[in-house]
Amino acid sequence: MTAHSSIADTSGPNAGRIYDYLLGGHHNFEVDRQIAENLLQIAPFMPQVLRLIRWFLGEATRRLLADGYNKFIDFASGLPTVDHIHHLAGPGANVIYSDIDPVTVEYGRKILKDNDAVRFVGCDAAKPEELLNSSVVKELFAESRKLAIGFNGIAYFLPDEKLKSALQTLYNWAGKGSKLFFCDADADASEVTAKLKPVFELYAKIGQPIYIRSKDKLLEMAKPWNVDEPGLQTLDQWIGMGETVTQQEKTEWGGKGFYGVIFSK
Amino acid sequence: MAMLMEKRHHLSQNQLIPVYHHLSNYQSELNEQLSILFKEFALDNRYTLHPRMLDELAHEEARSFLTFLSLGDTQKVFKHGGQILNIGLGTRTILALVSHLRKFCWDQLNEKDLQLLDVALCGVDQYFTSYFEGYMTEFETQILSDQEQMRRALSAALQRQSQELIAKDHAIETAIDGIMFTDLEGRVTYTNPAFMKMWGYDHFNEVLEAEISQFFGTKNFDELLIALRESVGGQRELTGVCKSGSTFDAVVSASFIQDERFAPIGIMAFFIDVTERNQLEAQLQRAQKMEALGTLAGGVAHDLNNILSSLVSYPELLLLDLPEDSHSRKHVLAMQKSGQKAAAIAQDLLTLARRGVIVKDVLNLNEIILSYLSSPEFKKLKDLYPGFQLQTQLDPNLLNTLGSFVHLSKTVMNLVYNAAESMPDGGEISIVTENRYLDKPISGYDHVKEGDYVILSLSDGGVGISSKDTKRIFEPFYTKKIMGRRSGTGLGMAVVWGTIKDHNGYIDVKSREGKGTTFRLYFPVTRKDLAEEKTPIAIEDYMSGGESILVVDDVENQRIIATSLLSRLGYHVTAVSSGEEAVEYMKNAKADLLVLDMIMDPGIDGLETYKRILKLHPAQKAVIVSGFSETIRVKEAQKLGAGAYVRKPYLLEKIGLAIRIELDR
Repeated sequence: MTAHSSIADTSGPNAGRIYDYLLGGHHNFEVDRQIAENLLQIAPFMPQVLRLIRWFLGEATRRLLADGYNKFIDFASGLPTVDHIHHLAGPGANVIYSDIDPVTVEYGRKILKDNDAVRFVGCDAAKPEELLNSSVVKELFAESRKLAIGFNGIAYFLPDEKLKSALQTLYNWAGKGSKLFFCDADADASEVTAKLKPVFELYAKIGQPIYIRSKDKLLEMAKPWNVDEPGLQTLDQWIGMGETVTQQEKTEWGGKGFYGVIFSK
Repeated sequence: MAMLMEKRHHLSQNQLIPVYHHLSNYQSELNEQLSILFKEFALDNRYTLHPRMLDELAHEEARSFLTFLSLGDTQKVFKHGGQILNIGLGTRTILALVSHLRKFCWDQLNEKDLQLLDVALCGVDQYFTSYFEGYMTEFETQILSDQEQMRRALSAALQRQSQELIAKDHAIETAIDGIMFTDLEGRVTYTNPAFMKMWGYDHFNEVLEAEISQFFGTKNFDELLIALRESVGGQRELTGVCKSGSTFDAVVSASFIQDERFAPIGIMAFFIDVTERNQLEAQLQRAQKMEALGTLAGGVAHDLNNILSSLVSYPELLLLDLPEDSHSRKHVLAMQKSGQKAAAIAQDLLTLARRGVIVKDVLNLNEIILSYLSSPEFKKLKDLYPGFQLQTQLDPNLLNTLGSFVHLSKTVMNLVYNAAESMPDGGEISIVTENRYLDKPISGYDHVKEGDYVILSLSDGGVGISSKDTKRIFEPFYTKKIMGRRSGTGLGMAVVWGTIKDHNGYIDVKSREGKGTTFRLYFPVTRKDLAEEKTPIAIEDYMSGGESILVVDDVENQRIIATSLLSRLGYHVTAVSSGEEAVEYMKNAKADLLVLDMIMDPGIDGLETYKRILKLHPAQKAVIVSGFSETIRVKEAQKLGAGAYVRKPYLLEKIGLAIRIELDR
């Protein structure tokens, strides 16, 4: 049983479904769309940020595939759309997606039902042990623990202690040579501008508060994971398409924008 | 759109072919332009498409458009539009694509062939009409499909959630622990059946919205709330107050109920009734304490018995020698009586040590009670406390029990004595006996197991005992301390406890201060019949036939007493002071019987002595003596061939008879 079954409750907005709407998906309800529209009013760059995060996920996946990684575990996956890991990896790779939202899990399973190399399980990213200790991992990876782990678009929903615990759990569980591709916002609470505050308040209001931290703090929390080349880079740098709107307006919005990193053990 | 549709009907494949021939020369240029365009609009697409993918897509789009010009196949374009939706190109990107293709045609044909430009622009319109139709048709299909899948997924998730709720609800409803939900003001919002049972309520309506203070007998809700809050993540013990007003001990563990934002909205508390556990713990502690006191008392009694032997046995010997009309007889008798009184105290200590009671006689409690009520002791008590009346209600069909007449008599005596003493101004004492079968255990002062019992209840209307003191009432000297009693040995209630335990019985005490006390004693029933009355034995029946006896005892005084008594009976007596000495003696001599002290310190004990002598004289006869009760080592000696076990102090008849029987065996 999950402690978050109430996410299936359509009477309240849900961060995952808001995310889906902002990306142009149809897996959302009126209650989510209203909040998403409010968000767009406050922060019109939100869809771009979310796309950049997914873009980084794709880029990191491609690089890891090129390095020979063909086993993936992904946390807070959202729906397994065409730009997600299994699509990019193609046949021959094994992928376990996970999400806290039972509706997403249910739908994800339907999408993946014909793909034997991919699984979708319910898991709170703050408690990765729920997934790591599950039979699905043994079923798909046998005893192998050298793999690539995705942890994207979720860190800013976890308070420091939970994020640190999750990262430590992943490190302790993963085999030598494993990779962790990860992205987060680089900002101190003091750097949040008045313009951005309503976004935080809106998420807090729907019961999914945002927690921000500097990348230095994150690096400290992530130890003993090692940072791989090219180090911590903005998402734009990872994609190689020049500066996006978010980077241009980062002064106005506060913080230093979003960054991505690939860690290794 | 209508204009586009109109123009499309006017174009044929033949009209488009020349456009194709001209524009296909610029395909690579178009590829590049579309790549730049797609990258510019990259963040508007539904899915994130890598730059490499965008390059491929640009080539694909250029190829698709030129193929249409070449073949005029609108179906193919329609299909392509649907595929583009699935790839994730956004509508803004597609509109930009339309615009760009028109510009591309203009750039390539404007200065060369205006008629061909017009056809090309119409071709672009026709191309995108089919393209959009395919795109929108697929879009509509996808929305319907997504919504349907969403509905199914939601339905499945809700069903799973519903099953979880049913399972959780069932678990709460059937939990053996009491469960209570309250709001933050402490008003009950839910209780499970176990809670209702614990507190004795029949209907949920009786507890709904009740304040939780009513369940714990405290008006200070803040204090209770603090207790509950403190028990979050831990446990705390509270006193539960039932609907009937009775109380019980409850351990509570509580947690906050939180809303989806983790704000507390109520309290969930789990309750376990620990009354029985607490009683058992108290019983165990009491038993352990009594055991420790018993060990101490046993040690004291052993030494006391040895000392008392002189006071009990010498007067007996002196009286045998003194003429009936001797003036000294009175003094010797007084000495003997004092010794016997001291021996009685030692006997109490032994009873307390639970090492001195033989509970194998078939007895009837009615006889014991009646015997006591007609005894000089009871008469003396009546003289001391003339104000009390004693009523009996004895079941004429009372079943028998196995026990020790002496000890049970003393138990009755002690209880009546205490009852009379608790009513200095007089009152009524009632003694009731009855048979009772307990089909389930009773947990009171003692944990009474199920079974057949004869019950002796003794009630008084005296001062009563506080619940605090009730817990310690059976400790030695405790009654003296709490009630300021000056009479008795101070061991009376301790002896009652020891006796009950020796008889495999149980005791229950109910007392209210100022109202009186009831002791209820439970003894296991025996179906055996009562033994016939014992007749006194004449000294001639256990006199010696001239046999030799070796007395083995480490205490000189005991050796002298034993030697004197046995010599008096006509035996040839030799005494030695240790087991080792006895073994040495038996190497060169014989004795018809050994009188063997079991505990000799230091040196080998009676059993070891007997074992070594048996090696020298395999048929050696012996009786065992000790100030302690029968032990495993005594029984082992008896298994090897020793005869009766005789407990000190020595009494002529007892030791004489034991030796006679053993010699005649």
